[in-house]
Amino acid sequence: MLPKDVENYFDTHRRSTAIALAILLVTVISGFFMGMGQTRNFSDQTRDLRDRQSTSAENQPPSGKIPTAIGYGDLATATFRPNTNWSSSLNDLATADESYLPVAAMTKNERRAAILARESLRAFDGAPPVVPHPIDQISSSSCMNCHSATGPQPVIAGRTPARMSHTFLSNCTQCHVASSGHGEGVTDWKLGLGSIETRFAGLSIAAAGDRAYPEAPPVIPHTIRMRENCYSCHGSGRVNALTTSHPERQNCTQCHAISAAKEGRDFDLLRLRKPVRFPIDLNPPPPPASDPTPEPDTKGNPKP
Amino acid sequence: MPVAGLTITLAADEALASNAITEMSSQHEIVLGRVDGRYMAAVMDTPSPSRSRDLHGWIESLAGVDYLDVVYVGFDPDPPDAPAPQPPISSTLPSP
Amino acid sequence: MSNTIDRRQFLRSSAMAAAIAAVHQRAFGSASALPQPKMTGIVWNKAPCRFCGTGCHVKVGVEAGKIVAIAGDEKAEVNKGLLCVKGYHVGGILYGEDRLTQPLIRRDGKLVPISWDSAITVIAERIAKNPKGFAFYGSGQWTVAEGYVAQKLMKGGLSNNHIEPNARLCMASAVTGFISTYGVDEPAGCYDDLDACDVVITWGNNPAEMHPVLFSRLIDRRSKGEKLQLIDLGTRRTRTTEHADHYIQFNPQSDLAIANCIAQQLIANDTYDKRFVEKFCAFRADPDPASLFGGPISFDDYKKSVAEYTPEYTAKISGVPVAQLKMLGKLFGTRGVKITSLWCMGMNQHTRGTAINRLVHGIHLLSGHWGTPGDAPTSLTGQPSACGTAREVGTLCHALPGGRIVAEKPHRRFCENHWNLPVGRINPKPGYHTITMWDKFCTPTAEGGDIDTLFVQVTNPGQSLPNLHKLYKAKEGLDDKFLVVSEIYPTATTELADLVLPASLWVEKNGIFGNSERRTQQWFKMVEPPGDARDDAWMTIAIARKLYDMGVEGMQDKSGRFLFHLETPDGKPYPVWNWDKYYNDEFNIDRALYEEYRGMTTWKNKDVAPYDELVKSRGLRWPVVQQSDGSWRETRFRFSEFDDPYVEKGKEIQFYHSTSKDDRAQIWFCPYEAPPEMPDETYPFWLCTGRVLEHWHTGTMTMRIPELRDAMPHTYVEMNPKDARELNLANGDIALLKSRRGEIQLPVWFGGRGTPPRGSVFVPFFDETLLINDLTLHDYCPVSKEPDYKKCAISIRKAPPEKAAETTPPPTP
Repeated sequence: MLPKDVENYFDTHRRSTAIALAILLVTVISGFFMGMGQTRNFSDQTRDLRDRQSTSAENQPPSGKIPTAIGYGDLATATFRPNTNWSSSLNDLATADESYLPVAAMTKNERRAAILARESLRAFDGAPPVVPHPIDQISSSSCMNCHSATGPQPVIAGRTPARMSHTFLSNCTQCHVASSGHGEGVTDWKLGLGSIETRFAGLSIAAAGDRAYPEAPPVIPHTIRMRENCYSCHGSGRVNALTTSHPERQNCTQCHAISAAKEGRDFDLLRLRKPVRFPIDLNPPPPPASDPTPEPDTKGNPKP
Repeated sequence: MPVAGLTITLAADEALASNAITEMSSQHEIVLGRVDGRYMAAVMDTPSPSRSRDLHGWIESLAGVDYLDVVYVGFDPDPPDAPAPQPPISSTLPSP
Repeated sequence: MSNTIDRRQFLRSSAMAAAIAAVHQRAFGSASALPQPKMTGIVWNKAPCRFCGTGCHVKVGVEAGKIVAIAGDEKAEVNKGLLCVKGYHVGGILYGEDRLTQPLIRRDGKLVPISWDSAITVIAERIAKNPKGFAFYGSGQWTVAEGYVAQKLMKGGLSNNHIEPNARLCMASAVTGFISTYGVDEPAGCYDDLDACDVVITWGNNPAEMHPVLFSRLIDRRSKGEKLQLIDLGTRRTRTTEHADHYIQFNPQSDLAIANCIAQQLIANDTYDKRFVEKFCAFRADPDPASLFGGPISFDDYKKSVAEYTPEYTAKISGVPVAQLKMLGKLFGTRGVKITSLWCMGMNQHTRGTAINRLVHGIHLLSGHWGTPGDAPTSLTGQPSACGTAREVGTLCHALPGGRIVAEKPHRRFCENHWNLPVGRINPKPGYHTITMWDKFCTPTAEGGDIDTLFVQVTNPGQSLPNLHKLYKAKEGLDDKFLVVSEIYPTATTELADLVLPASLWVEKNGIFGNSERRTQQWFKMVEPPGDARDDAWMTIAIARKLYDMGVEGMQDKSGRFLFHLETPDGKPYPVWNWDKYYNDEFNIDRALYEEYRGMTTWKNKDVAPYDELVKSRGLRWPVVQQSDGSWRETRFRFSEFDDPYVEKGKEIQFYHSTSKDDRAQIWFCPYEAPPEMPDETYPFWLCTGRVLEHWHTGTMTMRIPELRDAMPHTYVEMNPKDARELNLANGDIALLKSRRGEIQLPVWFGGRGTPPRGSVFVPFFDETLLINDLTLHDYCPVSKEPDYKKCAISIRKAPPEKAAETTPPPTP
């Protein structure tokens, strides 16, 4: 097969090539991050990848046009050159589709599963989540490749990494630590104080925001401090959060009210204020004495 | 002919709350529904908006009621010619 | 008709369905569906974080008597709403499953419950029997009032100066550095310097992990488009190095040579700040032996002394390339650029700790990089109230509150007068410093170990002391020694304790801390302590009261009243020793003790703010001086006329506590000297110990927080990959580390958090199941008496597999 044919082939199968390359590069990159000496089994993601590769029909190249792979023995002498889709940049990989298509609302069970998954990564609602994958222990720059607030995001194992939900802060590991140790591969030693449980029961993640009435926009049931970018969690393609059913609307707090009490804003001030026992009724019934509305007429019709 | 769905927040004091429930159940225009914790669902079916308002004020004035929220209002657009006899309080109201 | 009824029926059904849905959501949308729904929700209040000396303010969310959430406090100037991972999880420290909840006494080798009254009696009887053999050991985790009552009991009540804090192991060298340079302790600058500097130099410091909030305050300036140069001077590459513009790696101990080399270049290149030096500085050096105040030398003497430290000579000692040394020399010689130096344990835990502290102040003074925002030498502290309690209340064997010392007669007289004590009550002779105190406690009485009862509060010396075999574990089997430990959890120290007292913690009590930038911070009790846990200050007062009841003379003041005589606002004596009345609605004991202490703080112009001002603020930096309009103003930059109200008009800069009594700061010359133990053939590796981001101090609190423990479940030995390869060690393999004092097996980690240069390793000390301090050296700085945890010689080899298996530490019960 001529190199030209290879290029043509890739040209006509741009999409599957991109995905295949994404898979390859992601595997390479995750391998790099995991470090050479690690013996822990982080197979969840790779297993997903393999499944995708073998089951997804669109990933299967049409028969008869498969370029022959170069044997290991010939690798040293083979002449490689980048095809048109080759990229050395993570940011050029297949990225999340963030077009604002209508999304079906989550079912109750999906919501529950998402909330439980969220809770497993946080000590309490408002705590910085721990990182559910191995991390580069020394530098934060690798975090930004996938979690930056802007720019394309590679889809990894069908999941879109969460965008930074807060203002840009460059020392990620100050607040976000790995959930599974430092991963130097100690597996057969019982070390540390591993067995001591905690009785800390943090604020649980609110299931749903209150609504003033059915169909009213729910109020935001959590603090939005450090979560100013709602789309980080609620955008399409995100897991472990309620995805918005109306991603085309960008000004979230226009309709969804925030709660000062939830965030403890101005609590010094709040302490000074006397609690109001009843909500203020903006449309109070007129006092009975001056109520001119007569009883319904004989036909039972109200007076206009 | 307003029909209103109400959420009644009962007082924390259980004796007061149960008095309020007794009083409300004696009103034929009020149908009481499920109670969850301190919250009780109710439907108020009245012949006129003014009667609605009166009843609303009356419920709010009960010592065993902390809040009253209206969550649903429907109007019968086609009033009957004659005053409709109150249908018996049905125990077959569908539960959601 | 029937149609209409159907329709009404439909409307009613819809209305009922909507109402029921709303009710359901009301009831179950919130966490509780019980008959008593949450109408109040979370109650928030302010508190400084319980961990390090940064002094971030957190918002504590309490619901139903328990902490349920923590948030950064946007109103706090220190952290401006941001926290680190420890701070976000600080609420969890109260809720470890094995919290101590009742007093326990050791009987036949086992800890068994005992009543509070019996426990207090046991301690009082031991003290009464041998008051001189009693020692008190606390830390910078004491609140101001807790440290103050301990101080008053010991020095004012028992005429016994054997009181020390863990701070001796932590920032004693910074204290001696400040005092010998400026005549008074604590930084002149503050965190505002971090917002204004152009260059920051970290001296053996890794703030990215240890003071992450301050580090973010620095590097986040870059994200805002500001230019900030970070120079990391260190002995291993760390997360801080990742952000640095320059990484300057030096041989352990050669930081002294580097500082001297900067001074040499400033003089040789004639780039020192002549005006600043002539107006505001004097020169000084150590006589032999070294002392706190040394002796004056002339500028010419100084010049001659530093002349030896040319970049070429220094390069040989330090291993730093000449070009990098010249870069530093040129930087300090440049006017206009704002330089802030930061350091913490790297410079303090050093057998030449006082010397290197003096030298860093010296090069800032010599180059005039001093006294304006951004130009400052600033030491950071590791404990929440190392400054507020250990340093300012002076819970050290030689100190008295407010910067006073026991050796000075006027200082003793002032305190005796303030405490209404008979003249001569305070002992003029300093007590035992930490290392001697523990040495005397662990030495049999017959062999001169004259401390027999030791009361430990708020710290964990069984893990944090160096050379544990000698200074702690040797206590085991000495039957006449009695160790009392007030703790929140079982620790390495309760292991050998004869009496364990359950303590309340953080927001389970009222308290005040003082952070690294002179900021005094107050908080109120928010939740109840578990079981029978009680305040440390109460324990001390209760012991004093028991001694008073037993007729011990020192427990009376000169009017015959109890040593801790406190009166309610309407003048009635208050029974502060009665726990049932300790917290009450009318009388805030924390406030009363603090206000009593506050009267002692003005002499060295460390005027702390009134309690009621602290309640309103997120901490205030002393000196806090009342203005003509009655308001209180804090001071950000001491000794600088533009900000410090105590500087006389027109002086520009005035070191008003100068040791040379002429308003000048001292520029010291201290030579480089080789460390007491260096790698050799038998022990070819340097061992450095330290902390990690996730764990604080000995990990007793942070190891009980699942998120932090899961991130960093155990300690490890960090190696250079090339050394590991040579020793045939792969990541996760078990290495056997040996020093002249002890040995330990640890898993190897390379390519992780940091990378030490070849020939050196790093081990975090937080893990109580793997005590690295069995190996460390207990040699200390001759002036500050602070031991060196950062340098000793060890050997490393691969642990034989069968040995690794058989010495596996058992899981903690």
